[in-house]
Amino acid sequence: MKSSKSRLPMATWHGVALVLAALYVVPMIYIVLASLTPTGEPVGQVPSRLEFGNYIDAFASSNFGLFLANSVLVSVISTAAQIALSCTAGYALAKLPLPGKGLIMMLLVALLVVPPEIVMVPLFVMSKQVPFIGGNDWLGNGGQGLIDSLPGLMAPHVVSALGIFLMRQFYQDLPDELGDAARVDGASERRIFVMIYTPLVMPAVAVVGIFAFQSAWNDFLWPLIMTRSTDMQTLQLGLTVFFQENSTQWNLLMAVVLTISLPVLALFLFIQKFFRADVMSGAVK
Amino acid sequence: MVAKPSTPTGFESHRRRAGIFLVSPAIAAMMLTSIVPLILAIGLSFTDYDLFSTPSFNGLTNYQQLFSDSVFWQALGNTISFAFGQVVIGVVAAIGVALLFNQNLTGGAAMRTIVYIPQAASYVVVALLWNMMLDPAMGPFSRIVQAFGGGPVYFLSSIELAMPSIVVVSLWRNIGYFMIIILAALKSVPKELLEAAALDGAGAIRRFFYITLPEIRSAVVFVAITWFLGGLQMFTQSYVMTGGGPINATKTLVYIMYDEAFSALNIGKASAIAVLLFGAVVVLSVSLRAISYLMRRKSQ
Amino acid sequence: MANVVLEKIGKHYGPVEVLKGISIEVEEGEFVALVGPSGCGKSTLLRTIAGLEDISAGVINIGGRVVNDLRPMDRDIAMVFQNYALYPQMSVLQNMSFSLKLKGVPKAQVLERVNRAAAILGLENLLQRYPRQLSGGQRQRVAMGRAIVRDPQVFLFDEPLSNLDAKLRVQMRAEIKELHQRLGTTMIYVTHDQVEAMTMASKIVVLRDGVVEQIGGPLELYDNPRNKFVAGFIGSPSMNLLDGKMTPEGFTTPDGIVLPTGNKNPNAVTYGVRPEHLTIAPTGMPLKVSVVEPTGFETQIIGTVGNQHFTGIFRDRIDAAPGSTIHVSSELSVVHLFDEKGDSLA
Repeated sequence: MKSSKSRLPMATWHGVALVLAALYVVPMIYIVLASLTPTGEPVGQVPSRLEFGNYIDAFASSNFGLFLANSVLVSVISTAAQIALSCTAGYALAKLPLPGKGLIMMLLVALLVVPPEIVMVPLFVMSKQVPFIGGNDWLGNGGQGLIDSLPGLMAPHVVSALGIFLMRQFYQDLPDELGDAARVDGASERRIFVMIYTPLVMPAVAVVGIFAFQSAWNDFLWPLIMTRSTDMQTLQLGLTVFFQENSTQWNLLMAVVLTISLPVLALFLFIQKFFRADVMSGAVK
Repeated sequence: MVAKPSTPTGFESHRRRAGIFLVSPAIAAMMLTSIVPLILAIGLSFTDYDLFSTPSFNGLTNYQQLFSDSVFWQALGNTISFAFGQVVIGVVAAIGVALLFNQNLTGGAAMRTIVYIPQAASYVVVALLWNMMLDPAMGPFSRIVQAFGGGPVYFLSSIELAMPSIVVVSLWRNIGYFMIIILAALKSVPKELLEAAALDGAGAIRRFFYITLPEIRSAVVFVAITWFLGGLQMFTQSYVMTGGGPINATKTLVYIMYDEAFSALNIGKASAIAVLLFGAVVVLSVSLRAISYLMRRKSQ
Repeated sequence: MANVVLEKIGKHYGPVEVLKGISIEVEEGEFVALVGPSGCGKSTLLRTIAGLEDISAGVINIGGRVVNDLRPMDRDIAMVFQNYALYPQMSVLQNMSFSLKLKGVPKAQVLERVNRAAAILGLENLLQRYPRQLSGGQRQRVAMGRAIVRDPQVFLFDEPLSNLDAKLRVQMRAEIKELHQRLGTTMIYVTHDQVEAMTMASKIVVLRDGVVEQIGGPLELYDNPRNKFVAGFIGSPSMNLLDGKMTPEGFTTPDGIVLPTGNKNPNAVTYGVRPEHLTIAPTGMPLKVSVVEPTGFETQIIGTVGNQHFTGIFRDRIDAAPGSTIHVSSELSVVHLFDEKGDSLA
């Protein structure tokens, strides 16, 4: 098989791969250089000196610390909620007798393809009309409801059909006999769920968790709609506003972009081993 | 339920109660965040509603207004050309990149990770990065053109280039994810099949079209559907990179829905756009599923 | 130790009836095998005894106590599952002590009981291992150990050996039987393998389509099957069953071959004889040979009588060429006759 004929294509493959990698590496180098370019110098060239002070200036020039805190709160809490709801519902759908299980499954599968953007407007209307909250009366009028609040920002991310569906698949793949054995051993249904089955689906929990975290962390349209005050802005929104207001300060902007991307990137690479593409595609078939 | 448990105190009904207890919170949450809003969208699309006064029924007025609005048709065209363009180029490119990384390249794993990295970044971050990269004055692409004697290239402010630029930027971000899915499918193509075909004298191109491609078909279909449906919802890239311009050249359906709801405070019309988008998604995914089902049945 | 009495157990899933009024009595300390083809309801029956499934009708009585509405944990039973169902995230020690911990047994006592069970099963050196680090046979022993530590009134086995290879299966068969003799606990054992049932159980319950076909000792079922189904199910290879009718000369097949019988019951439409009860006899029925399988110990001949399938097993080494015809017969006392409904005409 190792003929000289196969040498040449291998060299070509390598060449193509390098070009491809360059398409990704060059912009990344650009960010780094731009973020270190002193204010006043044009970005996109090798800067005369590396200005690390940009990172401090960037965070000082806007409320990025606050935005970061908002983003972390919204993402962490909604991820936790989504994991909890995906596990409980996924487990019940996979392992327990339920009235109307077929109907629930059909609804879930249907909701898998419903883009979240479609429900943004009515969800906004509902958030505004929540009774007794944000100055609302019992009919939900008069105040702003959940608008411009952290719980409001979390609303679309606390549950997802995909999360429930994925967890159901994973629980389903575990043998029923494990639960039966535990029942005979004297475990309650709650204990079987928590102690027997859930420890065995931790990789799936990681997958669902990172999906949930990413969707909350990277969300833009919902915070754009829901936020009125600067105090409630998330990083994505704050970054965009900063860009719109100071569009020439590329160096500061890129410093922020880099700073907020690195932790997510690190998390992403760390959890990457849990990403099994066949699992993700298998879930939707 | 037909399968009635024997006794009301029975074990199955105990388990049933546990099931209901566990599934209820998620059902309630799904109801509140998806199903009720979906129904509400349909309802509001038949009303005149500005967020403050009481909604009043106005029949099909919102839809009629939309259909006679040239911006709506433009946004529809933009959305479809974005989604379609991204999927057609993207699927071919993702298969190509996956084939590339399916070879035993030196440094292949590192390069694969590099291609995958933008997936961790938000659309906002990617859009801002490419705003800089595509800048007519200091972006590298425009500067290369200028170095060869051309003028500055206005990628994002020219009607012809704005949407293609957004397509390319979106591809840049998303290819890694879809490539990984196709790569996994490629890895599961049985080696014996390819070896048998090679023994039969099939060349690399023939092997790809007659063996590899049919074997990875379901992964490709999954990628295409997911990607296309994702493309129909495009908003952030346009909002951040071009603000929907120039002259609405990059306004998408979600974008005009946002405009209608929060600039014009026309919730009814915005809901009508949402409903149309929902209808399109349902029709598309149902018919795609039906097609792939029929194809599978035919091949059996 | 306790007896188990099942009275008219019925179970249906919607309109599908899987158990149709099953009554079985299991004596204290008895080893009973529930055997039948797949789908006969044997596993479901075992699961109803365990309390893992509700019954739609009837009474389950364990040790003089009606347990219909008791949860599995309150029935004082232990169960060994087909795929062992060991908790993958727990070590052998944790697997075996799980039930005792849930019961709140003091730690010292838990350890003592686990160690005792481990000693019985030869698991002393494996207690810190995890299930994935064990071989099939070891997992099987842990599953039994988990049952033993509870010291239950009744052991339930659900096809515990079907995931093991043939050699290990024979070995574990002996181990379980030995365990039964040592502990003396009542055991109910589900299997689709009639050899397992015959070799291990003191009483066998043959089930088909949710109905008890016959209950009896292994040899009783072998010698006096109540009907054609039991006759065909018990014994390996299974009994030869030839269609035909009773004529004054004897049982006559459609091809006109006359088979001598002691019983001349005119209702007989099926003639049965076990392969191992045949001997070569020049005056016997003609067996047209299609395959000869010598194993050294015996010779199995597969062929046809008339145009019906027929198998014979002989202790002699027979040198018959495929396509030739040999003549075989059996003693009249081991011939079975069955009527239209399949019932035995004793």
